[in-house]
Amino acid sequence: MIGEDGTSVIRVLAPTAEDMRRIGSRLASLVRGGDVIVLSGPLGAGKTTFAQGFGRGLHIAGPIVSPTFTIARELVGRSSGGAPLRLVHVDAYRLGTLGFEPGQASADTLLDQLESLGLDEELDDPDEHTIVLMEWGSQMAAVLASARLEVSIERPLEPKPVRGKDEGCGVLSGDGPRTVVFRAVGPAWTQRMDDLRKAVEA
Amino acid sequence: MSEPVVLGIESTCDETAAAVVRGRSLVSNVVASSMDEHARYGGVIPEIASRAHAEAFIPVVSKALADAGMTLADLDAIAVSAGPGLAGCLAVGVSGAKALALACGKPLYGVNHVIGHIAVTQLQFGPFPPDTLALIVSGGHTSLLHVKDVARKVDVVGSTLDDAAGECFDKIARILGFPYPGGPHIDRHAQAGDPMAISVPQALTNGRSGARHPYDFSFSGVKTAVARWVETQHAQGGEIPVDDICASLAESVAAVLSRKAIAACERYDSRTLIVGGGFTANSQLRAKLLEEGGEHGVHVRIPERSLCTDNGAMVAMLGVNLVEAGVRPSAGDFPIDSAMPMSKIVM
Repeated sequence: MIGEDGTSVIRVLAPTAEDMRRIGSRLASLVRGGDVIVLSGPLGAGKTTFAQGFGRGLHIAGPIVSPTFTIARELVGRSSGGAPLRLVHVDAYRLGTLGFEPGQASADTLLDQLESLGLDEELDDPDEHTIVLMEWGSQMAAVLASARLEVSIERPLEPKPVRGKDEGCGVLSGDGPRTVVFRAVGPAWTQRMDDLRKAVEA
Repeated sequence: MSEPVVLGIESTCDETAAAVVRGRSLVSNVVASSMDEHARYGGVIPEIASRAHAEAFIPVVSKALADAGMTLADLDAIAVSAGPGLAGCLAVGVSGAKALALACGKPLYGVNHVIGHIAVTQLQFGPFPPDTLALIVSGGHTSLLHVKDVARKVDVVGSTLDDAAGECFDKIARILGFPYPGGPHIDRHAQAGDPMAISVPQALTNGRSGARHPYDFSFSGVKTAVARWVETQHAQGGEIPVDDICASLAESVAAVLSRKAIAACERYDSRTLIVGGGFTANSQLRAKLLEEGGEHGVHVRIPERSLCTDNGAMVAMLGVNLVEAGVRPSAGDFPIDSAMPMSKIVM
């Protein structure tokens, strides 16, 4: 599938949280050092769930939890080829300025905040052993990372009534299907889109 | 050595703080206020920036020593939070502490911030009874820990699998239009609402997932469910029952935290539950913990608010415990660890 701006786009359905983790894990099998992956989607879309699968695919031993509070967490894993990789899991939710959506502000403000946190260099030019996975960071990544994979997760507004085993009727629920859209920016990811399609649609 | 004197330094996230503890007494306690910065910038988090810590480090440490009427020469050791936290912020505190330790020739301990939340309760309640359980809940952490020996052996009983409880509150508060930090606003509105009005999910409490994760937490689904419900009401042009939403959310989160904490106490035969972290300020959680504790014969130790939030006293107190236990200081080149595991007390 070709996007409106000529970039290649992959859309895949994730009916459950475990499906979301599986898709994240499959993506991890294709990454290499220096990659920047930008995750976007509304609150509760499943970004951290995706990141948990991604971490599983990188053989990261510790838990992958939301990095919102500390902005960034560093974890050690390895690539599918066995090479050691450092995952920098960034969450820009608390960055930006009030009055904007989370993680958004004027470009100057964002760059200033990233610089003050020491994260601007990680995004601009991650080293060959580092992968950056960033939540809520689409605006600042667009400024800093010229080559990146954009992963956006869509969730329906009105959930279908869910009668899960664990929850009775009438309880609010966060469950339900999501759609994951991959979009390559720059040649490094465009070249891998066919492999990515095979991996996530399998 | 009787009554060790330790300087504690904290810079894991928003607060730059330093304190001096002698034995079980808090001699001085200085926390750099981040709220002024906050208002000045109009931003969400400028105060967490490493440079804010760098600017505050020397004034805060100097004031902690001056308030104690001490110089570096009077200390037996220095302790600093080495993790978990934001790397850039941790680096400022740890680098500064290393420089101080080198300059005055004192031993240095790079300690676990979360274990500090447990240790600090000794300042108010005295020593830990055997088999103490601890519930640490804040914007960044939600963990149940078994304290065998605060200086040597702390085990993880349960932890959040995704979002911290405080994070769930802050994110829903933003959706409801409350200013940051949103926790106190939810608390206040909850007091006027009906906690039974809306049925908010309680994750990992029953069924197969509950059996598999009896002492773990998950607040991501709660956040999503409430966020989506509010969005749907908005889209349909309906009135948002803010008080009822807040009351139902607070009731759900407080109930899950309290029940799991007390269940863990029963599992470990513990008669004492220690509570720490900024979320401990939440009045619904306090009430629920005391209620559940009372019903099950568990004494719940909730420290005063200034000891619950991030401070240097927690770091200094843990440092005193380490000195007393004869634990070897950290190596001179110990690293920071932004994802420091809870089972690791000292670097």
